[in-house]
Amino acid sequence: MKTRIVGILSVLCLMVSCVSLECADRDPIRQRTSPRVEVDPHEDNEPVLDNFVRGLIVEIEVFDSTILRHFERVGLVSKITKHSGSSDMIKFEAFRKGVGIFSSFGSDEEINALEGFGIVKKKSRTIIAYLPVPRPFDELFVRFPGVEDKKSLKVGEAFFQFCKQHPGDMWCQPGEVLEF
Amino acid sequence: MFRLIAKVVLCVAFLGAADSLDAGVSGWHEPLFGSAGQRIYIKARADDSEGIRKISIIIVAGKMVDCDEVRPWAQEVGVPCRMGASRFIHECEYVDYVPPSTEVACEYSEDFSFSYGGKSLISYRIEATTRSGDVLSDEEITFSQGEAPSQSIARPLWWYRLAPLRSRVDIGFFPDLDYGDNDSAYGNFTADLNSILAGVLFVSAPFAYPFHASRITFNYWAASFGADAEECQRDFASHLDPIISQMDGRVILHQNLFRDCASISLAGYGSVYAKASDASWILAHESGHFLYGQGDEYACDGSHRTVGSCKNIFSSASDCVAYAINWNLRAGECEEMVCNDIPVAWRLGRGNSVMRDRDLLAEWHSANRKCVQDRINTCESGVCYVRSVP
Repeated sequence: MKTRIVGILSVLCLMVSCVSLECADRDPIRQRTSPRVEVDPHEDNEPVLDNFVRGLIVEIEVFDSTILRHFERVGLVSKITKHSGSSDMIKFEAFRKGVGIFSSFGSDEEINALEGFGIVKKKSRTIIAYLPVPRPFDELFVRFPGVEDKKSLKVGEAFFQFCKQHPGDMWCQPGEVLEF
Repeated sequence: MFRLIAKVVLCVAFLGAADSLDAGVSGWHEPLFGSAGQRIYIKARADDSEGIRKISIIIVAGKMVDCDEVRPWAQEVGVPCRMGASRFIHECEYVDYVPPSTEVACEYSEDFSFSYGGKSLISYRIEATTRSGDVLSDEEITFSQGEAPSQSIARPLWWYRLAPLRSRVDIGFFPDLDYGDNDSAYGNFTADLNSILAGVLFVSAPFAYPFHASRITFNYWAASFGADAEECQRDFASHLDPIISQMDGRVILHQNLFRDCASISLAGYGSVYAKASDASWILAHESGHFLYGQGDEYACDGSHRTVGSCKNIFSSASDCVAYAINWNLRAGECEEMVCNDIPVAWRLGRGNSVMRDRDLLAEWHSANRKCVQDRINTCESGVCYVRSVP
């Protein structure tokens, strides 16, 4: 009996030592850290900055599908490629002097799932649209999901204010700038 | 001889059980969110049938700044840039007699914030060289340590920075007002956030499937104070607008108990009770609503709506069967949802579901899984979420 216990203990000890020894083999035998080399900041940040282009940021306060207030400014927005829309989203259409130049879809947070309660419709909400428009425009149409009528927002003032501050910008040159 | 054989057999068995992460090479850092003054560990592991000779951790570290400092006009983009960065490599070499396929590990640690005024942005990429000289490589991951350059810039916890933001699902986490608004409160928030993310990123529980199915599809960010939620009411201070604009999922973590709520949307908003013992599961469930437009599959007091073309809830058996047949799913899994003997809707899928059962073993199956996989496929095509038509 005693011999058997000693034998079992020996095997267990061997297993423990084997495992720990082998795990040591997983660890490196040599480690070194190279000297630090300076990185060009433009090259380093290019992948990040490449995400953005100039556009119009539109903030809309909404009750149900009524627009209460809106505020616009020119800024950097995400560069966005080709997409298709969905009937559950808000549609934005930009017009310059009556000609459509851009359209976009935005997500609406109107329909909510409240756990243990059910659907909650948020009538009052703020929607922010980031529009990577190709050039200045003066009218933005907003269409809410399931609503036939589209709302018109006059947004030219944002470009006018921008050009007052940046007269040399390409969006503020003759032929491009919006006149009032 | 016996000892050597035992070593080999035991070690292979031990290592096989110890790590079920992806085969090949992978890297991660701990903690995910690093505070200033804290030592950060960048860890790497690799295995290969030939055996691994060397692991290289290639690191670029610099000061986290507002992108306006790098390029005029780039203020308020919501994500950080980097200045004064330097690149270096930490290498680990291994003995030749380690059995092939044995996983080897390498680690580098530093308080990066020390060199960059308490605001650092760090990227790392792992390369492993096999015994025959082949190089295996992982995607570069970027994270931050310390304070943000401004309240309008999100701090990355896990960011595939070299890929366009639109090709990843960006999830931003915002501390609720109920945490307070001082350093200690922020530390409390980030501790909760570290724990929640570790619970979906580093465990292979079935409920965490979307975060595992394609780890490289997701970026995770931490925002500064300014958000306040109470059930479905969500308020964000205006300084958070640039961050919100870059996120596909905006999640308010709260420490006081109230019912969580999420928009049923393809990219949207949600809340997570961060002090729950299963907060990672809550994140997974709420993400089903706000990232994939799915409805609840519990019958009583559930939200039985979906958004978009991908569905998990149906108004009738025929709708459910038609959808299943159309998408090559099992129509026999259409199941009526009944609350107090009253039929309310139909679901597609059998067994415990993340959208129904608060259970760490709950799964994303059938219709749920299709919606997740569709989104991952959309991301792989270059743009995760529908937004505009040029």
